[in-house]
Parts: sequence; structure tokens; C-alpha cells
Amino acid sequence: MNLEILRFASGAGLLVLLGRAASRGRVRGLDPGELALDGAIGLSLAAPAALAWLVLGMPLPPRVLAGAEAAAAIFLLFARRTGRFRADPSSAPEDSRLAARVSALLAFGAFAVCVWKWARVPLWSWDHFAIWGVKARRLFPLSSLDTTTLHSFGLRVSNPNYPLGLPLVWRLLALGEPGTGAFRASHGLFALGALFALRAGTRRATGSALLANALAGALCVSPLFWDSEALGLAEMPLAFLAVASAALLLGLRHPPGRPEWAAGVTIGYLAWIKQEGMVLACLLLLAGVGILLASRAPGRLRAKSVAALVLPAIAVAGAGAALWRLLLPPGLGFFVGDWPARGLARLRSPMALWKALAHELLAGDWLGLW
Amino acid sequence: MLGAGTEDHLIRERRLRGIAAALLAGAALVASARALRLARAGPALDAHGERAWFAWALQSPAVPPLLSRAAGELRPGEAVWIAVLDPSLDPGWVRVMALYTLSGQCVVGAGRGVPSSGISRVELLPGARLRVVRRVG
Repeated sequence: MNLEILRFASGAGLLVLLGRAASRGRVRGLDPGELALDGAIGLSLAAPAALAWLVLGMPLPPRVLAGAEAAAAIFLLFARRTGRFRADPSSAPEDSRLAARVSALLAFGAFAVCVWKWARVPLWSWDHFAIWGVKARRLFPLSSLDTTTLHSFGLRVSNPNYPLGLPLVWRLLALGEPGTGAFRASHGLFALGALFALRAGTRRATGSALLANALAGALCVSPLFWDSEALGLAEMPLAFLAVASAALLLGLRHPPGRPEWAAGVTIGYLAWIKQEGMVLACLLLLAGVGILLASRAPGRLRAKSVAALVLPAIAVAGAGAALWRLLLPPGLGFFVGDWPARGLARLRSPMALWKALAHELLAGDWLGLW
Repeated sequence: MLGAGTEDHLIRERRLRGIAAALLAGAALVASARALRLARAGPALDAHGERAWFAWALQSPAVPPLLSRAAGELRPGEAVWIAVLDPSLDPGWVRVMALYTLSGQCVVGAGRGVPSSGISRVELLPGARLRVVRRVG
């Protein structure tokens, strides 16, 4: 168990280090929000590289993986000396220090209650055993990639056409085959990452530490955190990456910050986690383009920034789509059907959609109020 | 003397702080109630997904640990059949648990019967008991 924790800590630390080295150069500081964004960038870079390596038929044992990540981080750390980073560029209302501290304490108290529950409930979700977890444990025998079982009868209930980005990230975090402890730790880490990224993004958008902590507290009492069904599933990692991407996009309003491509790769990696991630990626990309076009930079510079955001996102998402087509058995595609007609039908009767949404969102159990 | 713009800004800020404080108070209230409940009675597993799926998804909590124990008695890569001899267990459910838990072995299937091919098998017996029968030769 101790070895599993050590490996997990090393795996997570290496991804954070890689993300920081690649996107910020030699900037010091341990702001948790920035570390969460580092982690999102690190995993969005490392996982596609690892999969490309595995697809070429080369094994990736834990030592080689850790060594490669560390070497890449060190190289990037020394290669990118330029680019000063302004950690918290907001100029909006500064809340009193006391309000900021008390609100942070309340938000993290709410998070601690979730951790307490996660530590006491079993890992039980059917989709974890049948879909996500089984792929992380079975598709990488002897540190290689073997998708033949997905084409066989054996994993027919495992939605074999789903993207493999999450099982791969679990392998990177656990530096090997993840066990129950690693799945739990990953859940906690993604939750903490979502929390810190939400705080960082809200502070960037509003400058209010109080509001940032309030939203973090609300996130901690949401069903995503409280319902233990989410343990070992893709929703929490998807939420983490989406919120981190949004925070990175908000950072683009205050240059000089992280480069545009950093937001691009995390947005692109959303499509590797879950098919729904593609929709989130499109929406975030649109928002990002809007932010960049609204800046006061000269036209040519703005166009360059838009390209620096959009091209990496398309490259990462597109590479994933191509690889899944190559490696995975065909299944029901996410974009199957007449989307424009369905969209138009909903636009013609918007009340039906709002009613359905309200029914879901306002039901007592969905609010987490037993 | 404040300008109209500054006054608007201050009002907006005050409103934002009010919303934040209300949100935080609500979250703190819910979290406190949950913490008290956890301390008193342990996790109740009555959130939406837990109520809907827990009993079905983990229909026999004793099985995954039993299968983990069996993994220790099997060779890596060994082909194995899961004989579900406990009538209370659903072979389909057991097969998924075996694929997950015996990740180092080749689980060829799970069912009520015992195959005649002489393949190694893990037998799940009534009373949460387990027997591993290795292929001879």
C-alpha cells in the first residue's frame, strides 16, 4: 500500500512538473491553483505522447515512463527561460483578509467532509468495474498496449469504442497498474484539482477570493462530489479538465501569462476522456476564441493567438479521434443522427427543454440534500 | 463625493459579496449536516446514484475480495473459467468482476457449469467460499 502511494505521488508530481516546465518556464511558486493547472497541462501532454509510444509497439514500463517525464520536464525547464508569469493578475475587488481566510476554511471544510466519505465507502460503480477500471487494468499488459480484448466477446459490455484517455491517465498517475487505492487517490486528486482550478478561474474573472471560495464550497456539496457513484468514473476527471481549461482561458485576458497552446491542449484532451468531452471542448474553444478576439491586441497578433489556441486543440482532439478509429472497434458514434434537425426541434419548443432541465436540476436528490 | 460609475461599482461589489456569503453559508450548512451524520451513523449511501445503483452494482461485496485471493493462486496469463456454483450469484455480474479483479489472467468466461476441457477454474461456492482448481498437465 505504501509503495502504491509513493508511486502515485511520484506519478502525479511528475505530471505537474511537466506541465509547469512546458508552459511557464522557470517560474517558482506553489500556488495550488497554478499547480492544478500545471497538472492539467502535464497530463494533456504526457498521455498522448505515451499513447503514441505504445501504438508504435514499444513498451513503457514505469521506470521508463517516470524517467521520460522527468527528462522532458528538466529539458523544458532549462530550455524555456523566458516568459515571466504574473501569478494573480486580477485587479478587481480585494476582499478582506479575514473574509478570504474564513471562506477558504469553510470551502476546504466542505471538501474534507467529502474526503471523509470517500475514504469510508467501497469502490462500487458498475461502470468502473465494467468500463473504465477494467480497461486501465487489462489493456496495458507488460507495460504495452493490447486492444485485442476490446475486439473480442470478453469486453462486450465495456463500451469498447469509448476513448482510452482516462485509463491511460490512471496508468500515468499510478506508474503502472492502478489498484483500488490509486483509483481513490485519483478521484481525490481530480476533485482537488477541480476545486483549485475553479478558485483560480473565479479569482481571475472577478478578483474576489470570497466568491472563489464560495463557488468552491458549492462545488464540494454538489452531487458530483457527494455521490460515491462517481468514484472511479470519468465525470470528475472531465470536470477537472474542463474547469482547468476555463481557468487557463480566463488567464489569456491578462498577458503575459501562460501560452495559448496550454489551454488548447487541455481543451483537446477533453475529447480523450469521454465522448461528451468533444461538446465541452467545442464550447470552450468558442469561448476562448471570443476572449482572444475581444482583446485590445493588434489584429495580426490576435489572429496569431487564436491560431495558437485552436490548432493545438484540434491537433490533440483530432489525433485522439484518429487513434480511436484505428485501435478501437466501431460503435455508436457520439455525433450519429441528425444533429441540426434535433437542435432546431429544441429551439422551436424551448420550454420543454427548460422544463426537463429544471426537473433534473431541482430534484431534491440531485441537489445532494437527502 | 463619489461619481455615479464608482457608486454603481460599489453596489455591484456589495451584491457580489452578498451572493458569495449566501452561497458559502448554504454550502457550510449542508457540509456540517453531512459531517454530523457521517460521524454519528457512517456513510448512508443515499445520494441519487447510490440509491439507484449501489445494491445492484455491488450485489455481493464478498466476491471481489474472494477473486483477489484466487489471483494469488493462479499464474500470470493463465486461462481460467469462473464456475458460479453459488445459486445466489449472477454469472454475468461475476464475469465482469472477474475480468476486473483477475487482470493478470485470461478469464475465458463464467457460468453455472464446470467445463469439461480441463481448464483451470475458480469455483465460487455457497457461503462466500472459494476453490481454485488448477488444470493438470
